[in-house]
Amino acid sequence: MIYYVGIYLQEVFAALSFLRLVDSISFRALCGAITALLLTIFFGERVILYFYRLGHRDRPRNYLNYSSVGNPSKTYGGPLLVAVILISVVLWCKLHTGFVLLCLGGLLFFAGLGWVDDYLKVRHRSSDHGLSETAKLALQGGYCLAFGTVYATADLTPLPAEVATQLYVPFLKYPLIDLSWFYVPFIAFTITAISNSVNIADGVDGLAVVPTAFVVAVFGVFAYISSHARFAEFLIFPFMPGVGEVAIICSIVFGACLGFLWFNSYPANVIMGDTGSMALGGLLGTVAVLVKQEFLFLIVGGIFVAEALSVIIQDKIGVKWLGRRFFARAPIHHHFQQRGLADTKIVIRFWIVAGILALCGLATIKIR
Amino acid sequence: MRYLLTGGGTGGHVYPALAIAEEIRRRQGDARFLYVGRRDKLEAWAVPARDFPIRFVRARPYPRSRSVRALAAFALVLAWGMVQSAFILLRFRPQVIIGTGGYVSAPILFAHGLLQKIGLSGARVFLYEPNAHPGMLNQVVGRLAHRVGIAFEQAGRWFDMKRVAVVGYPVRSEFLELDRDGARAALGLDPQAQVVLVFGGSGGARVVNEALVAALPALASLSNLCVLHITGRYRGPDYDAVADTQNAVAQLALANDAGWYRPLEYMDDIHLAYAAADLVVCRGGAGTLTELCVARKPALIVPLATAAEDHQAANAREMERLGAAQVIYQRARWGDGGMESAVDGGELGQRLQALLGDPERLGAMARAASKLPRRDSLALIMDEIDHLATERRGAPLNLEFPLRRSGPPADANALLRWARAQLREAGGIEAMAPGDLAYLRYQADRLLVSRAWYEVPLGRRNVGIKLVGLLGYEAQRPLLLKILLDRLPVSRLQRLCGGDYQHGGIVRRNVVEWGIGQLGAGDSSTRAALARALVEDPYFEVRAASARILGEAGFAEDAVDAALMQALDDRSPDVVVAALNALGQVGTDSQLLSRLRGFYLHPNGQVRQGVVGALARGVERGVFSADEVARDLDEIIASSPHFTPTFALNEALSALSQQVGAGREGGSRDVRVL
Repeated sequence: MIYYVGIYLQEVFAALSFLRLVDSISFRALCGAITALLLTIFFGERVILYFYRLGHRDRPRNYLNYSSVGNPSKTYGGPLLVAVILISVVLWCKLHTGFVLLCLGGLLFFAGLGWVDDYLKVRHRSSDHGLSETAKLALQGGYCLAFGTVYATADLTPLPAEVATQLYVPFLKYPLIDLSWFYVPFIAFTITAISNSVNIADGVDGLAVVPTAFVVAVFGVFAYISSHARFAEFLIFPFMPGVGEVAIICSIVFGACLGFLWFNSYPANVIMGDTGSMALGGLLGTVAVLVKQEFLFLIVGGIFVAEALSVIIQDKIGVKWLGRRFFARAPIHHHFQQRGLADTKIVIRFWIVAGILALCGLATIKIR
Repeated sequence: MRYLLTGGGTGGHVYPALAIAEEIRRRQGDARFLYVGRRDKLEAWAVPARDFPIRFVRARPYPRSRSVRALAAFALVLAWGMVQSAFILLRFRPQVIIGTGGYVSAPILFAHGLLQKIGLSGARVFLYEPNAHPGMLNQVVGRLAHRVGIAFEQAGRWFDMKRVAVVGYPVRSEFLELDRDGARAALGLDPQAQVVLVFGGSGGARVVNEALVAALPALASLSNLCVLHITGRYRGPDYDAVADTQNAVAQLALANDAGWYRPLEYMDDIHLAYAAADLVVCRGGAGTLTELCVARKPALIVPLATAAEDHQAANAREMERLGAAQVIYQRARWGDGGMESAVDGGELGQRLQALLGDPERLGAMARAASKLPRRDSLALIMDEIDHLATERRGAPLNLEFPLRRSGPPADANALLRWARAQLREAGGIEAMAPGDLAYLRYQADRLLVSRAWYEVPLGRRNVGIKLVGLLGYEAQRPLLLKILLDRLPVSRLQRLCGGDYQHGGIVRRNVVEWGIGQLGAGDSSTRAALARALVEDPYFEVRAASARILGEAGFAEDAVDAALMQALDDRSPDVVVAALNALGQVGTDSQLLSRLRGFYLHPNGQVRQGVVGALARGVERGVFSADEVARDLDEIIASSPHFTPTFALNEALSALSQQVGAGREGGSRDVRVL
């Protein structure tokens, strides 16, 4: 919105020509991040109290009493995170572009799905009575297929049509293969997997937000490069005009994550719940697909990948197929809790790993 | 009139249909019949023997497992059977279809349903359900029926009440007038002897045959006894009822000069055997039980454990409750090819001896039995069919069906919860009625034998193991130990991915934790098995649980002590911690303290905590002297990544919530640090 106002004002009043600044992606990215951060910090306390009074509280399963803080019930604050991102995007992005609309679609759909899940859990006063796994996957898969269809249709896609269905892989300069319509199921799988892995990782105070912040930071850089004709040419990236908006969104999510960490850091008084984690995951997946760096997520989102793999190995391979466990508990952070590590120690170690992985991801810009 | 009869698989479904058909033929000379059944089942020869024409269709029971392959095969066979049935229906054009249940009747009734939809079949359908719990397909088919006749009132719950009639079970008319002395004369039996009739339903029963043979030595000592044993003609790849029974009896080398044991393959006039018997050992199918009651005979019932919805056990329990029979359940046991279900021959012998030695009891049971069945069942069914044929409405019913499910749920986990609730209701294992406890334990046996376990590693056998512990089922302790030490490997691919044995790690852990943990490791053979598992089991949870239970046993032989000491070198921290705790509780080894010293600087905080605990327990038990341990205290590194912060406000809130009794969520309240 500010973009449109700024452009209008600097056209009408010569004295306000400095407002051309709103055309700069880096300026709007910075402002977006600060807006999101300040909004969260300023309104966070009130919103948390409001949700607390509404009774939107977490009821964690506690199998062996390994939670360090005697099982406190925390407030679901996912809607705060989503609202802040939404407001900042509306304020700072070019809303009419396909990139922004697709990102917002992903954010809102997954937030809605997560909210239903949270709501059911609150209503049934149990973490075991949310949406079923099948229902979740079916809804996510349905949305992602629709998204993929829009993405791969030449008339609808915001990307240059010749780039849209190319498959890019880290460490390779040129696209690996043109998947054509096979790109649709690939995208659907990617977004669903990323969304669920973030959801799985959200298990200890502050564990999901910081790695998410690292991931969006890296994707923001990639988006910025792809949006810039000369950078893209120099670094041999696909040039995609308009993808700079994705960089702004990434920066906004970065700010919102830091703001959320303000309250979510150990000992947390708010957790993002499924609303927040699925929304962030859905948005991350959408961003990864839009900047054409799906495989980069395997590196920068290594924490999420490990969490998801630990669940698959434990549950699908171990318990369901072989009748044994591989970890003391899954997801993997519960394994470390079980092994007696303090929550803070686990979380900060995960952050360190996530940070290193983010640097590795950034290195792929040049190592190609 | 043209009547189409269908139903089969077993005598329980075929004989009612035949009884009805014969009655119709007696009343209407010009009636035409067609029987539809399966080629390889009882109806294929029982029906032509009574001069009824028969046609065959494909049919298959509804699969008990949820495997996709089994479901697909079922659907295909059903579809093909329906096509065959449609042709039969279109050619024969019956006016009345009489279905007596069993999966065999499903294709014809479904096909009729479809044809009726498009106006090609106008037949009226009479469905007859002989069991207390209708089979899966009969429940569905019940919606197509114009009238449903049931033998047990409980079965009415599964059908539309307006169309249900309680008609009882139609037994053949010979059963109504039995002559004991005449029958004994006809069979050549001593009129003074005590006659026991043993048979396993229309198809014979391997379990009953084998149990009886095993019980024969115990029965041989009884004077004046005669055992009539009808083995059945079953001949399969791994069992031949006649030959195998003969061989087994020959191996016993019984003194059979008086001819007190009389094996028979099959008996057409089984009513004679009923008439002659003083006690009957049989399966718990509805037909058999009704015949028992009509014949006024006391019985020892062996319910078929694999019956659909476990209906035989339900039937038998009902008879037991009314005092008309006793029940002896099949038990899980470890056979040559793994787990199998069988009746313990020794137990059967004891129960028979006890019953035969108590004529008063037998008399009371016979009197109770004679009160049960309807003798006018066939007439009632004929009324219903006449109403159908003339399209008049049947007499309105005034029935109140019990709404509460009395039987156990089919789902294994629900069954566990149900058993727990039963125990709680009764107030513990000791306070439970013996009949109820035996039934609950039989449920554990049923789950233990379940093959479904192989489809999912943690299936119903796992729940059976938990039930054994929950019910204090001491008799199955050896079986649990067998499972724990079973070394049948899984497939190569599974081993490559980390699997080990057919009884998967979690199942073995549950054997230790739920089974033996509840039964207690008081005897030395259990402790030896646990010690072996502790040393050689490849799965860490099994080793950890074994160490824990060994510690709780409170006593350790040298071998157990050595195994625990060896477990201190385990690669899994869980096992080391459990072994440390156990050694603190039971360890007596002279080297113990010096071994413990090796853990003072262990990198894992949980292990060091275990050492400290073990030292404390050791000092308490007097294994270590306080001075020795005091000197060591400075050696133990105290820092650890463990960190349990306490929040004053949270604690105060917890205390307050306990004080005011508002422990809605276990007294835990939230912490708000803004």
